[in-house]
Amino acid sequence: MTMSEGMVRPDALSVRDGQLAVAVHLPWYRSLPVSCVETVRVSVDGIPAPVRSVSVGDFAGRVEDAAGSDGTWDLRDPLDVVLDVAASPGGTHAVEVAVAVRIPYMQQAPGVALVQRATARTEGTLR
Amino acid sequence: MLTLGTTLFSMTSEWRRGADVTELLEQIAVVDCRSAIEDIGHQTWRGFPHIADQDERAFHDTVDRLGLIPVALGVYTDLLRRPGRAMNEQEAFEDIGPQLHAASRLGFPLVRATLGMEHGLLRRVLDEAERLDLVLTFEVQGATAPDAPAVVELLELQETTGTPYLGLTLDFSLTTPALPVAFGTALRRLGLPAPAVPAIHRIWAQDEPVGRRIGAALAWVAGHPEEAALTMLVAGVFVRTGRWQPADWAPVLPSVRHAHAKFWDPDVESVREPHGAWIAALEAADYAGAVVSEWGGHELLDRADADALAVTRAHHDLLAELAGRQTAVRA
Repeated sequence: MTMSEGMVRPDALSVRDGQLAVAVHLPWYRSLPVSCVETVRVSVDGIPAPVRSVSVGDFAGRVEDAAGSDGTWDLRDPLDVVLDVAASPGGTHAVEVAVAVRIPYMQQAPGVALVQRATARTEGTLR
Repeated sequence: MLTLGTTLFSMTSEWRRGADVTELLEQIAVVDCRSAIEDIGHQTWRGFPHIADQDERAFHDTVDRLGLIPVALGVYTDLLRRPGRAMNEQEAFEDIGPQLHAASRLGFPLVRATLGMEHGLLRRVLDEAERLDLVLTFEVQGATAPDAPAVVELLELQETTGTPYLGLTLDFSLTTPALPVAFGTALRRLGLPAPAVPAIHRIWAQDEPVGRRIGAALAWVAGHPEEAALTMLVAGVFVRTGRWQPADWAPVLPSVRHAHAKFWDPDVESVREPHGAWIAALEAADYAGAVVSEWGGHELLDRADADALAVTRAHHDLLAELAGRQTAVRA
């Protein structure tokens, strides 16, 4: 399983309060602080989709709020990404997710963390 | 006689699919992947370094029941946890200190950390490790040079203090005669054009410092739609595939307290020569620690390409043969 394999699984898409939601697994081998989430970019059917909120563990908020979080993105838990995209059960969508997470213990230059960037795609019918 | 074992890092695909520690330890015991066990705290336990009492008891009960021996726990200082600001020494100590306590509670006699800890922090962490009767090791792997400043500093500190609680984890990737076949597979799957794959292999083999070779190789992925993933892949593999020989590291071997037999390809014959050489070198240095099998192929291959347990079992058969042969030669 490469780091991007399994990041967005066949059952990743769902409807949350009328919005499209994507479950995104961590593309790394160990759990990381939520504050290491740098960007989450999603496109739906080829069109960039605004991210409304993300949540995992004790954290819920906007992607830019993650930097201040003391929480953990556990290896076993998906980041729940809710989009500003109206959706309803039965709809079929192709979704691409690109995640950038800082690896806080690996420096590519002094004070500059390595950033893991992974992209994954799925297509499915909404539950 | 070497103690052989397994790092559960090899089972990364299973961890990411939601496996728990008891389940994986049982699988390892069933396929007879030898007795020594290494774990990564942040991979194995939810909420690590906070370990619930029942999780601590369950781990002890499981390793006792299965006859496994915890030998090393991977710990980290997440210095760049916050964007744009590194932890200060006190924050870093408060990050790693509880991990040492967790290692002690779980019965690990040794921890493995990332090479390059700042001096003041290193002294504090070493003091804490001594207090907990834990050996603190830092990993040398891939292109790391035996005279790298971080290695020299550790050896000097060890000599100055005379402490038996400080040492190295040595990774056999220091000796990588050829790039893994799985690396080429990963490059092609990311869509790298055919001419670029052998070109990157040729650059890896050049007699140049690793930084310069990475720079030359990255020119072949620049502008590619998957440039970010290819960059991580190329740089990550180049720095972890060294061209040292065990003789280059001979003066350092008395400080080695733990070892990884790293491999990438499901065909374990690819590491027969370097792993045999390292086992011989460690035996000659009267090494008394464990050698744990570490499969990194999950980073390069899809899950359908290889089964972590099967390749680990095959690798153990090879290591046992190599270790047995070495013992026979010495006898």
